[in-house]
Amino acid sequence: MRTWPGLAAIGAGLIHLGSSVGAVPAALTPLLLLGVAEVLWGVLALSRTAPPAAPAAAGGTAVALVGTVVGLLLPGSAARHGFSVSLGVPPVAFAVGGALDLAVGVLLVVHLLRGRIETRPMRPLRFVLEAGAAAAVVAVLVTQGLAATSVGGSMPMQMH
Amino acid sequence: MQINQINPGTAFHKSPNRIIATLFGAVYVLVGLLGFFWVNGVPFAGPGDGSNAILGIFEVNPLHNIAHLLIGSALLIAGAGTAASARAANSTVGALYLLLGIVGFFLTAPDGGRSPVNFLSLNVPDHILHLASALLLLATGLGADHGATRDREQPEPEAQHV
Repeated sequence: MRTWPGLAAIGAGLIHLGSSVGAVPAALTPLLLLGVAEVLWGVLALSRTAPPAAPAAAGGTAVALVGTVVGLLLPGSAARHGFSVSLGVPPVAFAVGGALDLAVGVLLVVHLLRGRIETRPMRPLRFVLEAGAAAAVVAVLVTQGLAATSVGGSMPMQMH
Repeated sequence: MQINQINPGTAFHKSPNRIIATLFGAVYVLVGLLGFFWVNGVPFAGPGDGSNAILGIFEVNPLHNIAHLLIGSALLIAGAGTAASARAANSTVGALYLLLGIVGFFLTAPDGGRSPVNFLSLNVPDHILHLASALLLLATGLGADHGATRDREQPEPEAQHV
C-alpha cells in the first residue's frame, strides 16, 4: 500500500483546487491552500519510502475532513433555519474530496500504529499492479469530482 | 570497454519504470495509430461531433493522435534504455499529463466540449485516461528505482594506460 496515500492525496488536492475556482471568497482561500498542500504532500509521499511528517499529515487530514463535513451540511442546515448559504462547491466534489482525504487519514493511522517502515524493496510487478490499481481508482473518483465543479462545466458523464 | 557498448543498466524485469515506460509507450503508439481510423472529417486541431471516438469511447483528432505518437515513442525509447532514463521520462510525462488532466476540464467546459477551444477534442473518458496515466507514471517515476541514477548505471570508464 505504498503508493496509495500519495496518489489519494494528489487526487484530493486536484479536486480541492478545481473546487476553489467557483467557490465563494470565504471558501476559496482555504480550498486553494488545502489543494496545494495535498498535491505537494502527495508528491513527497510518492518519492519517499515512508509518508513524510505522518502525525502532522494525519492531523491535517482530520481538519480537512471536519471542513468537508461542515461544507456538506452547512447549506442544508442554514436552509432549515431560513437562511440561504451557498459555498459554490457542489456536494459531489466535497464528498469525493472528503472520501480521498479519509483514505489518506486511515492509511496514515495504520502506518503510525504499525510503527515500522518497510525497507525491503517491493517486487517490480507487484509495485506496477498496486500503483496501477491505485491510479485507476483515484483517476475515476477525481474525474467524477472535477466534472461536478464549475471547472468541469457540470458536464454529464456520458461517453461522447 | 568500448565507448559504444550497450549499457545494460537495470534489467527490464527488475525495473518498474522500464516496465511501465515500455507498456505505456506501446499502448500510446498503438492508440495514436488506431486514432487515425476515426478522424475522417474531423478538424486537425478542433472538436469533432462525437463520431470521432476510438471504440466509441475516447475522442481524438489528428493533433491528439500525433501527441499520442510522440509521447508513446518517447516512453518506448526511454523504456528501452536504462532505468534512470525510464524514470526521468515517466516523471516528466506524468507531470505533463497531470497538467493536461486539469487544463482539459477548462478546454471542455465551454459548450460541452464542442467549442473550438477544445483543440485536442477531449471528452470525459479522455480526462480519466489522462489522469490515470499521470498518476501511474508519477507514482512509478517518483516511487520506484530509487537507486537508479545516470551515474550509477553508466559503466565506469576503464583506466587509461599511459
